[in-house]
Amino acid sequence: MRIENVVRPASAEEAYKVLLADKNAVPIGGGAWIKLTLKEIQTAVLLDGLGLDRIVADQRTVEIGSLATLSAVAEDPVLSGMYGGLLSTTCRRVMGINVQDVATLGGTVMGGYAFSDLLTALLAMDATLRFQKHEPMKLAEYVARKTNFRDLLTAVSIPRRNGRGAFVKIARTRLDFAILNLAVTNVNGLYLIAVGARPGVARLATAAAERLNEIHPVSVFDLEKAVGDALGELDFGSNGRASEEYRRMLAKHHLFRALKEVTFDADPR
Amino acid sequence: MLIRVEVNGLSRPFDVEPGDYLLDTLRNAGWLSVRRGCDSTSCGVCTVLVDGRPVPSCSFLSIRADGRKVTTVEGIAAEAERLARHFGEEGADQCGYCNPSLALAVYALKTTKPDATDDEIRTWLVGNLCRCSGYQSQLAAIRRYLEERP
Repeated sequence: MRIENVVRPASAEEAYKVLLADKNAVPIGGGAWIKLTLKEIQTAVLLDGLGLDRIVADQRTVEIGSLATLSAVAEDPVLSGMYGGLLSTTCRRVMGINVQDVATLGGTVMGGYAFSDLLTALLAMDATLRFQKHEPMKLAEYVARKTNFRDLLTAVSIPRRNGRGAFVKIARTRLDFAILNLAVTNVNGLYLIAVGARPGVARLATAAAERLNEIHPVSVFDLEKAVGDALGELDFGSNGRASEEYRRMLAKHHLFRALKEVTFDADPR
Repeated sequence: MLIRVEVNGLSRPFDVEPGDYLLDTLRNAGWLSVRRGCDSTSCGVCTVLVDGRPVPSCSFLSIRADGRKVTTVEGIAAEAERLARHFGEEGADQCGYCNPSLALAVYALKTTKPDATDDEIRTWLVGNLCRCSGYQSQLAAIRRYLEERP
């Protein structure tokens, strides 16, 4: 890869100004996938040393700095205790430890990779993105946006709620990208359902979750109905990894299992 | 551009291009134990430790190593020899191409999680491919290495 210039900003504000002033400037987080996606960079903006790698928890939220590595996220004790360790499990399913030590949460989010497992889990955890200049934005809104904007992601904020979570990744091997991934959470009867690698970028099945949220208590039949609703509102497609039909079949069965897991103490079968 | 990196305890300057990766910087400077494999972040054979953590040097920009500590297998020679002895006894070694990276990854596991279970060992090493061993003999050797208290 060819990089013409390197800028080492002294602060997040300076990094933002460089990115705004130079449309060809590329922020470098962990750089895990840059080699595979870019051949030439006019200006690389190194974000190391700006303090963006911290994970800070208070009573209401956990704020994960955009430069936190997947390993740091996986090993964080507070995050490991939320939603049954949903985010930790997801990070540990991303290739091997050496990649998890390089790849950053911010790089994954801003890359908007369709294969991303993290986007799926973060959607199900109702994550909010925090930028240097723009107002905070729900991740769900960010991935669905029609227009691009230029800013520096500083942190990903997750509400600190007590709930259950489940994450499923289907891949041919542990080192391969997902054929399909999905994450569901249940906080006192309020569900969030996210499905990614369909092969499009992860999306929430909003209507399916909203209908499920109106039912108390939820039965197995309600969950089956919710799976049908989710399959109806999400688009699936084919690529070299799997066909649309196969992805739908995987989603149908694994989403049902995941919903049961976050709903019942014991498998009702 | 000039960067300064501490390699195996010795701080030294490197003259690098902004787009150089640590794999090439180290190999060009003579550390040939750092091997080139897939060159695309997948196989783990180029693994080195940066500030004690295993990273794929093929995807780690050299400029990001400025001011940091890099360890190759030469930097953990005594530990690598102990692990190699167990590899020999368990028949876990054939071509040896992945051994330096594997030794570094296992050493990092030992410093991070010395009481790792077999499942945790497997998970930790999922990004370190070996085309010879079949992994079972490696697992047995690593188990013995972790249980051995110096």
